[in-house]
Amino acid sequence: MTVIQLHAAPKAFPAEKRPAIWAVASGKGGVGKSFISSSLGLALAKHGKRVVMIDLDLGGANLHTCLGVPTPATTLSDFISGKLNDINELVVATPTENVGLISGAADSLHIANIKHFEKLKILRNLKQIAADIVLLDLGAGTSFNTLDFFAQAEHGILAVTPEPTSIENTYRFLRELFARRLRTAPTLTRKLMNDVLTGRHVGGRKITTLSAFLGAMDHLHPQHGALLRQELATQNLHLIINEAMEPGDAELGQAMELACRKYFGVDIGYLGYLNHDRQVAMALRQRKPFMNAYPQSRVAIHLDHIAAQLLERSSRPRTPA
Amino acid sequence: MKKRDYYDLLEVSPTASAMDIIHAYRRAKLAFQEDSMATYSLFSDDDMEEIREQIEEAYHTLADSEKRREYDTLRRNLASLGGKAAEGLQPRPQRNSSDLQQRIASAIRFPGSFLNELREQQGISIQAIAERTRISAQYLKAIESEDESRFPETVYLKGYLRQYARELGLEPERVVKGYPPLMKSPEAEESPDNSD
Repeated sequence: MTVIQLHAAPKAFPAEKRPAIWAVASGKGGVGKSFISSSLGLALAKHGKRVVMIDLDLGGANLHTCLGVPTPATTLSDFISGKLNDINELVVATPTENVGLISGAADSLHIANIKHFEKLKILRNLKQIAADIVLLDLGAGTSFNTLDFFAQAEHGILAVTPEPTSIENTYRFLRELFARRLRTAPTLTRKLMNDVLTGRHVGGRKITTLSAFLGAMDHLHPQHGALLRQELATQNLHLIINEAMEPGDAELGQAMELACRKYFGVDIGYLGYLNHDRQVAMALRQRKPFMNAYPQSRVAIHLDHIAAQLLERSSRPRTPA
Repeated sequence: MKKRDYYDLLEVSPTASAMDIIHAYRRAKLAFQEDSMATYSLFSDDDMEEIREQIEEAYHTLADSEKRREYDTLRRNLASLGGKAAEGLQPRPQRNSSDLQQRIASAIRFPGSFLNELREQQGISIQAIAERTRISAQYLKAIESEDESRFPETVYLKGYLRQYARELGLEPERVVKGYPPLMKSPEAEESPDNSD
């Protein structure tokens, strides 16, 4: 984003030490997003990373509970109001070493009505956070603000449960995300996009998928098609299937990956699935982070494996799709 | 939909083993079967039907070693005729556009009149660019008429020109280098890297 000018990095924290931004979101609520992001944060810390988690599920913030922090002393609203000026002062410690939290738990804050400049203030300060990885826990749904935060992340992770409503909303989320990305194209590209969409394209057949649209752009206006593909590939996108119950649920992720490539023409990697496990609720009741309470459970082992995959992927240079 | 490459369709490499092809076929068949959750809300029934037909067609060709050999030969021949031909598509240059592309590619100078012509030939209005870049139409017109007096500082002119060029699909730095009012000023030579 060219509109956002980053402030000069403070001396104590050299620019090359800037954290990677990762985000967890979901199209539908109640699919275990905060559970996944908190557990992922803990798993990443176990792999030796300094992690700061930010609860951006404003209006429904509960990440602190998943991390075992009773009531955070400082929250994002202290930063937005200007009470605290350094975003690092907002980070509260959690019971887990190397995992910090910036909480969004404040009644006055809601993602739907944080103002544009407030959003920019948070966005441009994310890179100032003293950590290896800043993990954003975003609210469910496709509000502009949620999409803007998600779009900033190097790794964007979508949590899905094996039910039609969750899947439908996941695809809606992706559609909105891609539409928002394509909107930043130059005027000429946008005009050509419009020409292609309104019928001046190969075969005269109606374009019903993003992938067919990209194909038509490649064919008619190769340069502009390449530009769009590049824009769509700026972010690594991933799926996690949560609360798998049937044996077939594990394969759902692979099938969604295939369907996305066919429909969107974009790679969305399937990271793995997490079984439905009553211990997740039990850990919450004990106010203990799940990863600490049940480190030997299958779900914890899968989460650990997912964290390792993500780290492996971010350590290798991007290969364009 | 046009004929697709069978290997692309099943998402396997052209060197895939028979076993790889069977696995890929099974995965694709599962993903696109009638009551598949993975495609829920994504594809129309017609699209789904067509995808299923394509998958069957691809599998039945690639699973049969005889047919696969024939297909591979055909595919290689098509590929040597030019990449796009393999998809059964003929490049379809649009009127004037190749001529325009050539002029852009070979241009060293980008005077305002040339920019104006490029913009109009592509059917883009000043307003469209103004809305997009939030640069006032007056300044955009001043760029096209090379009216430097409208810009108090060269940096504004340069900055606006870069944005204007990007919107027309031109390379901003080339346009800045070849824009006459900037060519004669000494500032045009220094610090080409202080871009936005």
